[in-house]
Amino acid sequence: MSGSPAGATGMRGHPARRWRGPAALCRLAATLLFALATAQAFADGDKPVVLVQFENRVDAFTRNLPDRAASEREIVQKLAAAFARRYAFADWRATAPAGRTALGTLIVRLQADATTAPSPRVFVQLFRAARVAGGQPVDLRLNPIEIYEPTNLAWDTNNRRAFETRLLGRTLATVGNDAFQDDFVTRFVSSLPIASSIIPQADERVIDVPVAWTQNLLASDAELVVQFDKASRRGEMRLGDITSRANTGAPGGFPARLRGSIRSAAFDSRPLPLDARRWNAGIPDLLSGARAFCFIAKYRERDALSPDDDLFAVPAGESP
Amino acid sequence: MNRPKHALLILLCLAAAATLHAQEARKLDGRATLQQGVAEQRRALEVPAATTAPTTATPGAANAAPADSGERRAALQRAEAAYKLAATDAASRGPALHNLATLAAREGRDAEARQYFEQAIAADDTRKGFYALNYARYLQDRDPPAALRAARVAVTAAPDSELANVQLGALLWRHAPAQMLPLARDLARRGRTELATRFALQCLRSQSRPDAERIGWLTLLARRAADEYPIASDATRAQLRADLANIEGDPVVGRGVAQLRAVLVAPPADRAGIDWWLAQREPQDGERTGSEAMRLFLLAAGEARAGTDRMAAERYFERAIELGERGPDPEAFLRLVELYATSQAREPLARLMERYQWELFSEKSEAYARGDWPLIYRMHIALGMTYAYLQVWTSSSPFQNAVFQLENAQRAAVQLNAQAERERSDTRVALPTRALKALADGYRAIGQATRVQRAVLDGAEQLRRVGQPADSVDALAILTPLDVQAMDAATRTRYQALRTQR
Repeated sequence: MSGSPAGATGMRGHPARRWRGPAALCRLAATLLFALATAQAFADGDKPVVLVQFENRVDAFTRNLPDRAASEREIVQKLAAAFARRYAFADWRATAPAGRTALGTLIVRLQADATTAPSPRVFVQLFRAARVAGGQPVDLRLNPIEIYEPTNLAWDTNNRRAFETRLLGRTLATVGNDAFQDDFVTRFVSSLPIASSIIPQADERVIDVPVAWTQNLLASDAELVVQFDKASRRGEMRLGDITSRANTGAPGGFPARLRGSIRSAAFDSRPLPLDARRWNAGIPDLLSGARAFCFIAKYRERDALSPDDDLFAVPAGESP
Repeated sequence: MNRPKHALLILLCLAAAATLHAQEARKLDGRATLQQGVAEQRRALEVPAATTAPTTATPGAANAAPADSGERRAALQRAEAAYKLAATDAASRGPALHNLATLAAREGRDAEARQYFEQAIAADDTRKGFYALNYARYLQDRDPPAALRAARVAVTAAPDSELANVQLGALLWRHAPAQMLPLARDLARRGRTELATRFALQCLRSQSRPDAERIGWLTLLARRAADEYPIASDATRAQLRADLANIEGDPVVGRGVAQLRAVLVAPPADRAGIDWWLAQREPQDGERTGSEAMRLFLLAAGEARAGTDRMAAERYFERAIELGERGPDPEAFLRLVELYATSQAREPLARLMERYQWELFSEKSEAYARGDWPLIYRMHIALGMTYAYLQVWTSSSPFQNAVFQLENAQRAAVQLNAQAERERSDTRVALPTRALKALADGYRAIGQATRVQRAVLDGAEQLRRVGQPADSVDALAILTPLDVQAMDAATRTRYQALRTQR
């Protein structure tokens, strides 16, 4: 697990004298209980972190908007919550918790297009932050989300509440829509490496992907793609029929695994033939010593009301 | 040091720690016991039986419980005992009660099954939705009203769950179909448009629903197409067209379906291409009318095409103008103005003004009459900026020029702010610096430079009053040194005061 329980870490730094006497016993008991609870929360809920940033590049707003910093904090929190609701595989947030590294950063940028007439169009464009420090953000090339059309100069530059309502109303309606998902996954989500190792299971003819979170938030019709390279030659495998195998005691401190069967595979620009059970006997050797990363290729969220291991479902009735 | 007191405190602490430890131990027992029950239940279901047993509760189970083998029955009894024990621990109470419910349901103990389901739903908020969903499935043929209530609990607990919404939709379809449209509208509002569309197509295809409701379903699909135009792929639109194809023969909505399918591909050539939608002016349950949904679609389609196909965009906007609520639609009109202005198409712009000026002015008069200052302000400033962009400072009619429109925009801003003050709203507007600059350019172009000072100072004061001091100072930069030199003493005092305030 990433991060150590906050309570336990804090305890080590306390001067010894504070741990003498009866009151200290209560403190000790409380601290131990807190540490236990925190460890439990981490064990149950660690998801990969994806950061969300909001950038305001429109002068009229940066110069005039009252309480701008607070407004932007509010905006980024609401944006993160909207992405978290729609793409629940990750913990979308404004800042990474201490000791944890984000998989990637989504930049939601408000900007103006001065080429439109009679006035600029104000719109939101989505970017992916560069993976290296100092690099330029990458435009996701999704359609801009229009906030103020060029014939509308009644910008809410002096009214924080109206500005937030308009910006969030238009942006959230778009990012929360089914039709937005496929392009967003292709251009952003699929660039996030959810794992940096894989384990071929030859006996069961599947690929295991150790992941650092225990909640199974992908549906079986999601698809993963594994990109690997070995001796400067590249390969790729597409995995389907995704299932979770929680708490397998996998190596490397990973508490859980995703598992998928191979839909297609290629190495060194050539397809790898698969047998009827979607396997190629050469795969374990091929992957041995290879460097691999796993990404989500097709995002399908596990239904919040899917049965858990300890519950028995009643079959679904007739659907409309 | 007070030793007896300390000893007492230590004892109390130890007692507290022991209690907590005992509670924790019980928690672990509860979970472990639950797992034992699950293992027994699984074992029971895997044991070969003389007759095939349903793996879980099914609607017919009450009357057709299979004859279990002794081994199976024993395993089920052990599972039930384990669940009952696990149900005494808060940590495992919910799942234990739920699994007890499925066991009772399996054996046809209906009253017990219901009681356990309801207790599980009440006991465990974290999995309430799952329990309620299963309860709804269990009840769907036994007690449809109760099944509907349970399905609604599941949807409330997990609003985005497709399983829960599909279950609720299925129950509504069978027992309260009129309530499906509000459910689908809610799904669409929350962006869950694929499921909303499935419901819509089901209801439209069945042709069993009343006319008004079918119109409502088609309106929902038009609204979806409008909302998704900028983000949906061509394939998504093609799929919607294909889905709609077999409803074109519907006597009530068929013509609307055909017109929607046509505009998904190309703009309508004339009013006849949207006449069914033009007639849909009746709001349903406070929702948007059909004509409004089609107007939004045409606007979205025009906007999406504006960059690549001006002719198509023009046609979409022209038709959208005709779908306005009280006359030409101002939003569509302004979009078309913007399209012409961006492409410097002066002649089409003049024709557009010629075509709509009287209707628009009559509409604006109505807006004046009902005090719709936001619309009035919006119209004046949009037209003023457009004329300024095209450098139209004078005109044969008094209103087809930038100066007239921007002066009136400034007046409308004053009225809008006064209205906001009266209504205690926090909306305040001021002519933006960009518009003040256009107005100043206009005065200079028509040889009325003396009016520049007043317009700019009034504008700067208005900007300051509405909370835009930075823009207020910027606005003063519109004034040239000659403008400043020409100021009388009182005007110069105003100017200096505005320059120094922050």
